[in-house]
Amino acid sequence: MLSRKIVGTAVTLLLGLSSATAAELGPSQYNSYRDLHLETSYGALFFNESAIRAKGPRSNESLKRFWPVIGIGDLILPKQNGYCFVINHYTGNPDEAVQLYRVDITKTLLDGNTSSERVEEPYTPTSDPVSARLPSVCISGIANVTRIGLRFSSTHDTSFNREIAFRLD
Amino acid sequence: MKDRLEQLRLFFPAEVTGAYLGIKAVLENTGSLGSENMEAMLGIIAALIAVNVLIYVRAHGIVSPIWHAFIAVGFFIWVLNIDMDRYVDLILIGPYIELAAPISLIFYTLVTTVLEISPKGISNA
Repeated sequence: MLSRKIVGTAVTLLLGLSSATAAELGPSQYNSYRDLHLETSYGALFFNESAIRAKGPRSNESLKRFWPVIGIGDLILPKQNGYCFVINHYTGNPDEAVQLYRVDITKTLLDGNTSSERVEEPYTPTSDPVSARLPSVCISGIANVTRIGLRFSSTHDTSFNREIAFRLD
Repeated sequence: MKDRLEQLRLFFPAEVTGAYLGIKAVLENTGSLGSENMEAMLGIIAALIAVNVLIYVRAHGIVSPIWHAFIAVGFFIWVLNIDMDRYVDLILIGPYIELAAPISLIFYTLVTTVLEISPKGISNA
């Protein structure tokens, strides 16, 4: 009886793991704001490969190497010293009001503890396809971090709503 | 279109067009992608236009501001056509650059032909 329970629990766990959601990077990289805005939808999330927000000349946040993030859940990203994400804020409507975008960042540390912070910034949905003022977030200070979880949202509508996570080990 | 581009290039000193192409190659060889470094290259364009003016003034004695403005516009059109991907994020022009750049080239060369404007003895050997 006990062995059946153990086997049943193990099977349940395995089924749960196999059905865990997974996000992935899209097949094509975008190298301009124009193409990012016009070829994807409002609220689309992108990982800016190699971009790191650092102080002074080391910062290369202005890189334009946008990989679309498809789906939700666990994501595999290349190893970097920091990570930057941007969101498509192009609606084509010139009369949009200022909105807020939020990113809740959860870092899992080496000792198992977690730390949380919230980034909340204003942005204006734009009708300019070459607008460089994309909602963005960069994560740094990841030396003792094993996993980062991000939850995106906006006061505009649910287009930004997304949860992803990625491991650093 | 290649002929028109070559016809336009003859208006600028080879040193200037060579400089732009050289810098473009350096950026590409160091991994610059798409429209990265656009702002820096706009600065390079401004500097090369200034060099253009200097060469025309010192080597050919041309001081007409209208001529220099005309040449500056032509140089900008030349750059947009040979480095189009870099300027897709340029305000006003970027969203339509695949149309705007070649059409501008056509009209510019048309104007130079109709008004019989020729490069002022610029050597492109």
